[in-house]
Amino acid sequence: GLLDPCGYINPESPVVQLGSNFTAVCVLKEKCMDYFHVNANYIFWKTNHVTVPKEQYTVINRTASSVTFTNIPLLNSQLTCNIRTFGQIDQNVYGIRIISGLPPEKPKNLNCIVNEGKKMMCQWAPGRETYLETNFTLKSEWATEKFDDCEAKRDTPTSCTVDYSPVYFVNIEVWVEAENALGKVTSDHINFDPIDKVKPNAPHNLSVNNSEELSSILKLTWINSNIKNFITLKYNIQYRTKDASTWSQIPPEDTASTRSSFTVQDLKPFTEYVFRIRCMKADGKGFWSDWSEEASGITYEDR
Amino acid sequence: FLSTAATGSCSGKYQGLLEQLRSQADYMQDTSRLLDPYIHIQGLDTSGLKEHCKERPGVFPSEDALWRLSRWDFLQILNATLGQVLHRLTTFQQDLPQLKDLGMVMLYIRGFQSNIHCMCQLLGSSSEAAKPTQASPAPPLPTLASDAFQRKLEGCRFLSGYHHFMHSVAQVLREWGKSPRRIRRHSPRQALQKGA
Repeated sequence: GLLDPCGYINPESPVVQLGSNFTAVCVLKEKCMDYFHVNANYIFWKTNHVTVPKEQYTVINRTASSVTFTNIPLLNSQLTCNIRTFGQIDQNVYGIRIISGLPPEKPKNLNCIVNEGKKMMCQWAPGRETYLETNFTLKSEWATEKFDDCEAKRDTPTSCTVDYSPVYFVNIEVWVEAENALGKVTSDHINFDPIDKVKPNAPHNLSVNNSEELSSILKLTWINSNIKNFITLKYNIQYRTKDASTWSQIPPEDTASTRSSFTVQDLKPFTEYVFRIRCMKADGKGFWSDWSEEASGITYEDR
Repeated sequence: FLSTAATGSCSGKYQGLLEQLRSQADYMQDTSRLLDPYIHIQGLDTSGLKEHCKERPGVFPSEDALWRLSRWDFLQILNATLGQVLHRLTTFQQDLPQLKDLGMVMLYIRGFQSNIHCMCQLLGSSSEAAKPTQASPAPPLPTLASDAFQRKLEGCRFLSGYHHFMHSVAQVLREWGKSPRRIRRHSPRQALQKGA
């Protein structure tokens, strides 16, 4: 038919590695050769409408001619095969798009976090820019079961949030696969118990009460999040006088296990103090929670 | 979102795995996870009815029976019993969509089975894997009652038995020693009784 191409180019839609060499072959159809009275010698190539120098051509036989590019740069361009027919009219035979880029590098620094009450999210360093559409897939499995793949979204290619709730006390193996048109690579595997990757919700309802008997103390109380049913917690408790800008901290060894109150001593009488608290797993595995809401209280007057 | 195929690797650390099994057993014996919400949803939390929610003997291996098993057989029975629990809970899933934590409980059971698989691997490679004691297979589950109220009670008895079974499992795991290689053949508890 009228729109039948007069030939074709092989390969059809190549993805070429940056810096490598690339050869395309254009093959003419007999019907067209007869109609236009041409053969492979009449072929000339263009990239984005610019004619390619003849030195890069090789006539293979009566119907086919190739063109070779060396040390391919960063490309996303059109390569066309053309013939000059009688009357010096250029006739386009066929066209392809050439894309160049790099195969993915091995993803590194894979790490995961379980924000309490939420699903596990893992992050990684993707490696160099590949200039190509590159898919990252987070894989996870137990010793006896495999979870669904987690496909990183196009706009967040370096992280993925799995679609299942964390199951504590079972080691899970996690790794990332990166794949594009030029290759596929796998990160190192990490193996951990999600309980060791928890970022607890901050302690809440922090309240401060003074003591009529003792003007140098304030008693803090708070509510721990549900994670306390799974892990032993430790705390950072910080305080400052209302006008100060720097925080003092209760010695961590004094707050090294799950609790919901603490009495701060050696405070100045009749002074307003501001407090905040955060927690994490007592053995130091996982992440600190955010700081709680601040709460303040005033020590009792000295008698 | 889970496909069953023994694929992944086990961490291979006995003490860590034992701690995980203990934590899991503690988590799964907690009736607030399953039995209590079931009783509430099924309207069985009125005084007269709750007493009927007693475990039916013989459905789950007793604690005494568990104590008499070698560790290897203990794990086999535990795995088989949990497999049956999973099977039964699947019917609960269809009947009681409002039991919202059921999916999570089932996931924890599968996680428990994964740890059992790894502990078997560990014990398999230690001397413990000597000739197992004669372990009776996990008792078959009772057939479901026909009328709705009896089915509610059956479900309640089953879950009560499940939590109690997990309590027994936790007790046994608590006595497991520090290393995969076991010195005494019979259960530590009997040894204690002899010593008392």
